[in-house]
Amino acid sequence: MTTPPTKRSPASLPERWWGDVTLVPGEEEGLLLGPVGLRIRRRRYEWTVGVRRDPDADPLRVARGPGVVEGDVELARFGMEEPGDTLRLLPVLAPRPVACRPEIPFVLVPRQAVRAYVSTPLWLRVSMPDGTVLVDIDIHRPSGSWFGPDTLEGELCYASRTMLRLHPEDVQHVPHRAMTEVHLRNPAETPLRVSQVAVPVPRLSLGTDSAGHLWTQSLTMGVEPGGLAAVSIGELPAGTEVLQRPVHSPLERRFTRTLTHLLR
Amino acid sequence: MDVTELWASINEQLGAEVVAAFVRVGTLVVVGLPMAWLAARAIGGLARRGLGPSTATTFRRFAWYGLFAAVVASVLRELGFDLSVLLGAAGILTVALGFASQTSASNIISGLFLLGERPFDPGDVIEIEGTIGVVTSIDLLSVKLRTVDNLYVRVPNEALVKARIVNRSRYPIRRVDLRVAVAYDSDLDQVEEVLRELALDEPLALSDPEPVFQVLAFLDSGVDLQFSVWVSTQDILAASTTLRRQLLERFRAVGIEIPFPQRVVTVRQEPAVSPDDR
Repeated sequence: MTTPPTKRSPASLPERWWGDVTLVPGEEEGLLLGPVGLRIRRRRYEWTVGVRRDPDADPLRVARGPGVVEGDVELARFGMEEPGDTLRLLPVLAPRPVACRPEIPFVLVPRQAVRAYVSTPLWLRVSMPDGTVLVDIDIHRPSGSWFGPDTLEGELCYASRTMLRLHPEDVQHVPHRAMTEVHLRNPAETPLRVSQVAVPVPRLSLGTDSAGHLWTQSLTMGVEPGGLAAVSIGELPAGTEVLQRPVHSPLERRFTRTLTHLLR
Repeated sequence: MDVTELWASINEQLGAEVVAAFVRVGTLVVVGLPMAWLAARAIGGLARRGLGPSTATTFRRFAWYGLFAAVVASVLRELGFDLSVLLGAAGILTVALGFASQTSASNIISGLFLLGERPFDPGDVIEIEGTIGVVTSIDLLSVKLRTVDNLYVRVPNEALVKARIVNRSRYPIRRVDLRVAVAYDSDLDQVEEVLRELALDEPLALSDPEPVFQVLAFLDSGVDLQFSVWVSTQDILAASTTLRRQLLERFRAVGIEIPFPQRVVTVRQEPAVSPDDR
C-alpha cells in the first residue's frame, strides 16, 4: 500500500515524514527529505534501500510516494526469510554530541540568564517493525569536530552552526533537524563568551509536538559558584510524543572541571 | 566388611601417622589447588579492573605459579621431605638457571616494566624501529604485532624497553600536515582560502581545532607551505589521502600551480674568434 506522490511546499511544513511504509512484493516507496532521497523496494525475500544524495537540494523539501526519487541510488539489500510487508522510518539523533558554533559571537552579560534555541542534524533510521535497525542514514553529513580544552582531553563530536535564537517564534524548524532549548546562566560577575555550545544528543530523548516539530530534552548550562561548569538535562516540551529514548544513560547533573569544556 | 572395619585395617597395616599424612596430602591437593586457582582468578579479576586485560593475565599467571609452588611445598613437607635441602638445591639451581637464561630473565623484567608503564595496549598501532603494526598481545617475554600487510612480528620486551616507541593511536585525534609548494606568482591569500574551503567541505576534517596555514620557506622553485588539518585518529588514512587528492583537484580548478624543480640557465654568447686572431 503506497501513498500517492505529494510534494509539500515549505509553507505547509513541518509535517511528519516518519512512520510505517507498507508495501507488497514488487512495490516501491520514495522519500525526499532535504538533501537525501530514499527509495525502498519490497521483494519476496528482501528489502532494498536506495539512497540518493543531492547536496544542493532545497533543505526544506519533503515529498513521499513511489517515483519521487529519480535517478541512480546507492543500493543496499536486506535479506530475510519473512520480510513482512512493513518497514519503519524514524528520525534519530546524531550518534555523537554536536558542537554548535554561533554564527555571530555571543556574550552573556554578568548575572543574567537566557533561553536559546539550537538545532542539531538528524539521522534517518530504516528499521523493522520489531525495532531491528536495517540502516541509519545521515541526512546531512556534518563535519567532525573536537570539543575539549586541549587535544588530549575532550570528545569527538559533530560541528554545526547556530543562529542562537532567543525567542521560540524566531526559530525556523527544518524537517531533518531537532531543536533543543538551552537555558544559559551566568551568575558570575564577568561576561561569559559563548563560542560553542555542545549538545550531548546521545544522552537526550527525541520527541515531536502536535505540529510535527522535532524537539530534544532541554538543557541548562552555566557556571556554578566556584568556577565549575555544569549542565543538566531537563524535560521534553509539554505535550511531546517521545520518538527516541537516550542512547547513552542520561545525566541528571554533570559537573566538569572547566567551563571551557561546556561552553567555549 | 564395613567402612569402620576397613579404616581400622588400614590404620593397623600402615600406621596411624602415615594414614593421617596421606589424608592431609589429599586434603591439600583436593582443596589447596582449586583454592589457589580461584585465588589466582580473583587476583586477575582485580588487576583487570585497574590495569587492563594483558596485565591482568600476567598477574593471574604469576599468582597461580606462586600458589601452586606453595601447595607443592606443603605437600612435600607433609610427605616428610626436608625443604631446607630442597631450598638449598633450588638456590643453586636458580643461580645456574639465571646464568643460562639471562636474556629470558631480562625480557621478563622488561615485561614487568612495560606493564607498569603501559606505553601501549593491545589494539594500539605502534611504530618501533621502522615497523608499524597493531599490538595483538603483550606477553611475559615479548610483544606481538600484526603489520598492515599482515606480517606477524615478535618484539622481545628487552628491545621494547630500550627502543623509541611511537604510539600512533594513543590519542583520539591527530593532525594531517599537507605540505605543498606553490609557484612564486601565486596569490597566497587565494591559496589559503582554497585550502580552508577544502577543510570546511571535507566531513573527515575536524572544524575544531581549526586548520593552520603556514608559509614554511622560500624554495628554489616555489613557496613551501604547510596546511595542517585535525582528523579523528581512526580516519587518519582515509583523510590524508582524500585531502591530498582534493587539494590537487582544487589547485588545478583555480589555476594554482604546483611548481616542478627548475633552474634558470643563462647562455652567454662569446664573440667569435677568427683563425687569424690566434
